[in-house]
Parts: sequence; C-alpha cells; structure tokens
Amino acid sequence: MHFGTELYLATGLSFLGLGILGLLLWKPAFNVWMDAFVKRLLKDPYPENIGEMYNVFHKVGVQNVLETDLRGASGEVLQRPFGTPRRYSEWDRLLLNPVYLSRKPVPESLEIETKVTIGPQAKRPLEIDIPLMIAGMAYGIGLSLNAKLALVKGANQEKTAVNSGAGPYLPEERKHGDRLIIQYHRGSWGKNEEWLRQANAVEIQLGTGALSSAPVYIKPQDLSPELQSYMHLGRDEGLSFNAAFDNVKSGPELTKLVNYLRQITNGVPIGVKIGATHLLEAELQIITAAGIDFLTIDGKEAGTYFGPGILEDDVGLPTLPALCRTVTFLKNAKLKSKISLIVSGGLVTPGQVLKALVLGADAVYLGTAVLIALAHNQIAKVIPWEPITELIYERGKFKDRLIVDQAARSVANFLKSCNQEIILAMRCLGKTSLKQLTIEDLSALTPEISKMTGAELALFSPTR
Amino acid sequence: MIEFWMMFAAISLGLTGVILVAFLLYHFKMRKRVSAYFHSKAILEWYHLIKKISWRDYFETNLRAETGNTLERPFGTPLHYVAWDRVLFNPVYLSRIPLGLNEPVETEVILGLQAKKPLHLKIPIIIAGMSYGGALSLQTKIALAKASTMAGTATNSGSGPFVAEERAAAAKYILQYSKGFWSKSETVLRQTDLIEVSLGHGAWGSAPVRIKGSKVTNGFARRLDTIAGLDVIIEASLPEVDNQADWVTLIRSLKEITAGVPVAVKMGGTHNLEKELPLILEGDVDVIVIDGAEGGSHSVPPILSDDTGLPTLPALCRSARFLREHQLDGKISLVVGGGLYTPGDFLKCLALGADAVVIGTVAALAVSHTQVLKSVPWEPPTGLIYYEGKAAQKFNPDLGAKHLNHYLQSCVSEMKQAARTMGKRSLKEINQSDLVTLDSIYAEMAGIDWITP
Repeated sequence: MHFGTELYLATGLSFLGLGILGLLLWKPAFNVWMDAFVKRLLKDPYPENIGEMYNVFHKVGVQNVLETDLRGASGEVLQRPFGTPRRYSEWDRLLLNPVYLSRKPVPESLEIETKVTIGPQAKRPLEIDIPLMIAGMAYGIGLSLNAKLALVKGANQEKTAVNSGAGPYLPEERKHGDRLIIQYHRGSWGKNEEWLRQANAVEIQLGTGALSSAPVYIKPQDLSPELQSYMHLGRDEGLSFNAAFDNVKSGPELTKLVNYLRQITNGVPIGVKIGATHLLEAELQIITAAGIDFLTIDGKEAGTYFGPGILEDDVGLPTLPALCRTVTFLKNAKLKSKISLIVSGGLVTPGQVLKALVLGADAVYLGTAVLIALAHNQIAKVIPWEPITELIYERGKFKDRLIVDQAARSVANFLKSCNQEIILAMRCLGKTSLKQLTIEDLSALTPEISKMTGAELALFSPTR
Repeated sequence: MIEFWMMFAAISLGLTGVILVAFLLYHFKMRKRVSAYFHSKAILEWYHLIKKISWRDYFETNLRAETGNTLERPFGTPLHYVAWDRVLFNPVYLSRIPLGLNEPVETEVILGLQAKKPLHLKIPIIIAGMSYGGALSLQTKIALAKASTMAGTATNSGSGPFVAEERAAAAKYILQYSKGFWSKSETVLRQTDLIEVSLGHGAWGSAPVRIKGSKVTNGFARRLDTIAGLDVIIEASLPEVDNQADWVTLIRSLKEITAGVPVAVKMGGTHNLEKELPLILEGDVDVIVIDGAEGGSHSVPPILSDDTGLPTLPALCRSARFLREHQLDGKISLVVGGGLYTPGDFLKCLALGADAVVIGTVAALAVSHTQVLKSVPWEPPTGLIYYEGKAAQKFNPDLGAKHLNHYLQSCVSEMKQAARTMGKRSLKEINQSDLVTLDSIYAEMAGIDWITP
C-alpha cells in the first residue's frame, strides 16, 4: 500500500475507532463524572459548595452580578445601553375589543386612514403617513453616521418623521429626510439658527425617560476622533449636557424660547419633550402654558445611548401611567385637539403602539425596536463576540461595515409591517381612521389597569 | 499490516494527546478567557437587550424587518392572560360519597336540544375547525375525522372548503359556514350534522384573512371552486349579511335547507360580548361557540392574537351568565375553545357552564405525536400536518387517528376520575359549586367560592 493511502486510512479508522469507543463508553464515563459532581454538590459544606452560586444569582440577579463586576472594574458610573431592562407598563393586560355584528368590521376593500398631523395649530404642521416615528438618537454620541443615514432613509420610504436627537447638526440627515424633527437640546452644539431653520418641527428637550433631567458629561475617550474633529473639539475635550437650559428656568422664559423658535422657523410645530415623572401635572401646567404645538412624553422604559443604572431603573414614571395622566390633563385643560401628543419609551410591538393610540397618543416614537430592525440581517457581522452596538454606534469597531441601503430597507420594512398590523386590528375594531379610536376599543384584565386607563374591566359584563 | 496497526495506535495516541493538551490548556489558560467572555460587554449587552425587549419581540422585530408584511405566527398567542390553575375542584369525602372505580360516569352531551335533529356526542370534547388547504393537509383532516369517529365526537371543517373524504371518515361532521364564498351549496349543506356560522375566531377577531395565490394550488382551488393562483379572501363579515334582517333570514334558510340540524354561531371572545349576543340570538340559533383570545390559528399577526379579543375564561363566564340571565341555559348550548390544553381545563369549562369544549392546538399535537419526528429537527412540527408542510406526504393518517383517539380517551378518563372524587355521576352535574378559586376577583367573575369563605 502507498504510504499516503495508509495515512488517510489510518486517520479515518482512528476517528472511527475513537467514535466507537466514545459511543461505548460515554454513558459510563458521563455517569462517573455526574456521580462525582452530584456527590460533591450534595456533600460539600455550604460555603464551599458550587450550588451556592445559584443562590447568589437568584438573590442578586444575573444582570446585577455582571454589572457589579463592571462597577468593580471601572469605579465609574455604569454605561449601559438601551435603557432599563425592567418592564413597568403592563401593555398585555389591555386588550382591543373586536366587533362582529354590533358594528361592522371594516372589509379589505375599504382603506384605513393612518395619516397624522403633528401640531395642527401650527402654520406649517408636520404630516406623517403612519403614526410611528423614529425616536431621537444622536449622531456621534450614540449612533454612527451610517446608522443615522439608514434611519432617515428608512423613515423617508414610509413617509414618516425622524428625530435628530441631541447630536451635532448633520446636513446628510436633512438631505435624505423630508420630515426632520430637530431637537433643541441641553448641549451647547447643533443649535445655530441656520440649522434650526431647516427643521420640519423643533422639539425642546428638557429631559428623557432614561436619563431624566440629569446632567451628563461624555468623556473625551468615549468620543470617536472623527466626531471630535467634526465638532471641532480638542483631543481632551468632552461634551456636557446641562441639567437645565441656562435661558429657560421659568414658564415665561420657555414661552420666549417657543416664540423665538416659531419665528425663526416660520411656524413649524414647536414641542417640548420631558421624561415622565410623578410630578407630571405640575410640569405640564407650565409647559402647556408656553403655547406649544406638540408634547413628547418619554416614559421610564425608554432607551438611551449609554446610561447609569440608577437613572434608567429607578428614576421616573413608566410609559403607560404617564400617557394616561397626560391625556387626562390635556382633556381637562381642553388642549387635547390643539396639542399633539407623542409618546415613547419601551414600545416595541404594533399592539402596544395601537393601544397607546387608543389611549390618546397621536403618534409614537420607536427607538430600540428600530435599532434591532436596523441591524437585522447585518448582525452576523458582529455576533457572537461583539454586541449589537459595535455595529451601529459611533464608538463601534464595526460601524463601517454597516451597509446603509440594506439597513434602511430593514427599517422601512419594520415600520411598514407594524403599520399593516395596526390597520388589520383596526378592521377588527370597525374603525376606518385613527381619529375614530376611543377608549371603548379597549378593555382591561385587572382592576388596577382598568382604573388607570379608564378602559372597562374585561372580566365582567359592563352592564353588570 | 503490522505497520498499519502501529500507525493506527500512534494516531489514536496522538489524538488523545491533542485532546488532553486542549483540556489542560483550557483548564489553566483558556478558562480565564472563557470566563472573560461571559463577563464581557458582548454577553452582558445581549443579555440586557433580550431581557429588556424579550426574546420573542427581538425575533419578531427581525422578521418584520425582513419582509415588511404582517407577521404570520402559527398557533396563536403565547400569552397566558388568565390562570386556569387559580381555579380548583372540590373533592368530597363524607359530605357526599365519592364514586368507586367501577361506577360509570356519564359523559354524553347533546348540542342543540331545540333543533329537530340535535347532535349527540359521546364525549364533550370536539375537534376544532382547522381548515383544509388554508391550514391542514388532506391526510391530517382525514386523521382528525377518523379519530372523532373512534371517540364518538365530532370534527369541524374549519373555514376551508368542504372535503368529501373528511365527511366520509367522520361519523359526526360540523361544517363551518365561513365568511368566504365556498361550500355554501345546498348539496354540501345537507351533508352536515351541525352548521357553524363563523363570524370570526379568537385569534383573528373579525379581521379579513387573505390566502395568497401562491398557496392556492390546483387541488385546493378545485375544492374552493376558484382558479389556482388567485388570492382567496375570507371577508371581515359574512358577505350575505348586510343587516339584521339578512342575519335572521340566513339562519332560517340554513335550518330549512338542512331540515333541522342545529345551527351554531361562532365568534371570537370580545368585550362587546353582551352587545353581540342579543343580535346573534335574534336569529334562531341553537348553539353559541365562543373562541377565546388564546385560540390558535394556522398563522396570525401578533397584534390580533396577542392584543385583540377576550380570554376564554372571562368570555365563558360572561356568556354563561348572559344565557342564565335570559333564561336560555338548557335551551341554547354553549361551546367554548381557545387555549384549553388539559382535561382539568376542559372540566373547569364544563363546570362553569359550557356544554362542550373545542380543542385545536392540542389535537394537532396529539395527531402528530411520534410522527412529528418525520419533520423535526430540520423543519418545524407543523411541517408534518400543514397543507404546505414539507413532510406532509409522510404523515400516516391511521396512526395519527389512533394517537388522537388515545389522547381523547385519556382526557375523558381523567375527567371521570375527577368526577368520581366529587361524587358526580355525570359530567353535566358538575357545576360552579364544585369549584373554588385562589383569587377573589376570579370568584366574582365566575360566581364561585373564594378560598376564604
């Protein structure tokens, strides 16, 4: 036999032999190992026992254990992306009420109207085709240029608006988007008149759901060199958001700012965004007195680029109660039809969106969900060794690998799919337009949710 | 030859060595790196993201981003809105005498008592309407029909076309009068033992359903009486019913055509229940079928299955209460379905006022049983029983029927055991007084005792 043939044969046979040996022996071998493991598990003194790990994880929580390690490693505030993992708003305790004979369900042949006007009282209101908008996610501080471009292109395909977020001004975003909401934020950049004039709406950001009104300092090492040169920052210069605007410390000052913005933009809708808080009504009293066109309420579950755990998990008010209370406030103040209400924070599925619309929101912002859609089929470029943020964040190692048009299509598809499902559910409700939605289209599965939302309790007949 | 064996031994030894070295390397060096991975940003961020929006929402967001169409999720909602396990049966010891093992327990049920030809069933479990073509393959439909014959119950056509083979295999056959245009001729209607007029499902609500033309292949199209490749629409409401007078006329004409088989009306659970029921009952119907929000379907957009409708338990309690308050219990039969998975669930429904229950998802699981291995792991379990399933050709209907019949017999035996421990000679005798609940609000909803009297 030729030596080479023998080598192949021997290799093959040895694998076969090992395989057979393994097949014959794996049960007894595994048994021996398992026995030893279980014996130790059941006999070792508690402090030395590996089973104690279970207690620690169960008591502290897997995430808290890992985050404790991170805190221990750096000694600084945690930089956790995407906001809180806790789910405070019980959207699945609310159900939509389909009709059969009591009202006619809407047949396929009839169109369902999903157009929304933001700021109906403004001189140049913002019209969007679907009630879903893309939340403010800043270029540079959060997302990469490619990701921002994908978002704005995707939104444009579905004829909806995108929010600039608290980043520096980005002419590319303006160029590719027909509906741009520019955020007037608490940083010192991206607010010159020339840029603001190009807005289709301006949102004065007093805070967000995830970080509330906390001041934020972004360290120079957390900024990419490209961004630093783009923003004309020195190598050791960071960025800081103030807790409040220097020029807005009272109601009249807010009115002045709103009027100023309205004047320079020639009457686009001017709105205010706050993170939700239990002191909502007091805040709204002052904010609505400033003559705004829209109001953005960002609930506790909202995401953010990076944020410390205490602000994300423990500060603020969840989206669902914040929405219900804001709607009640606007109705009582007879402002519901004058001020558009945008709600955001933890909304992921079209079902949650439609429930928010039924409860009185005019439109919603989606953030985290849109980012997942954005990465969609390009996620293979980072898994399993890197997180999703490496692909879409400015600080990400793989941000240049994101193909913009492909990502834009994924975003557009996601928005379209959600809107189509909303339309389908509205056919069940027998409603042909978003304006016809009322609280009678919802019922609640628990007395608490029923009381909070004003939807009837589904467990009982309403005539009982 | 000896050289060969020497080489074999050498290579084996070498491989063992490699494994050993790898193990030692892992033990002393890599372990740190592996543990570093589990402590790294990658794993933490993924864990965090999935925890925040849940694995299912992550997955479904991606599916939406891929197609841009509404999602089509099989089996309906994975949510559990109400907890059946918060309701318990009350066994008796001396206050009433429990029954011995040999004492029979009556399980028969009659649907549509006031109809000329009521439907007699030996057991109170009916196979759900799962349509041929739209959902299931022909062989699966036949297996369901055969199992229903063996167990002495009825099978339901679903919203698909009338299938003669299925009719032949079923002793009792329920035809669904759907919101489509098919299977409404007098010849077809006369072949049924009960007609179920479908206003909607628990999973779909009253939404219109479009079956894509690509799914309408020759055999399916012939039975639907349409052209292959054309989209088929199940409308939002019955095409022949435009107003209340049409509704009354429709029910009357169905009774005339069939010479008096019971007419049932099926609708999904909804909070508008008490508004719908009087309108439905204006037609002279014999059976009300309520499909709770947990009801399954071939494939349904999540917004309809997760966010729309009324769960089975409150829907049942409210319908039963409605019938009682209008002195219609005993005259109009009540059938419920949607998310019922165990004989305990079934018996709780009967105790709360249902005359029979409908099983869909578990029936599909039981009919697949071990044959599911022909489809998994490379295809989903539905691949075996769905019309367009890749392993549908490998399905053996006789075996499927046998397994489903076994499942039904097992469930009925368990229900009988529960009846014996409650000292009841018939499943019909079991009522609200045989139940207790751990939650005060359930007590109020179902009219049963709370654990704290």
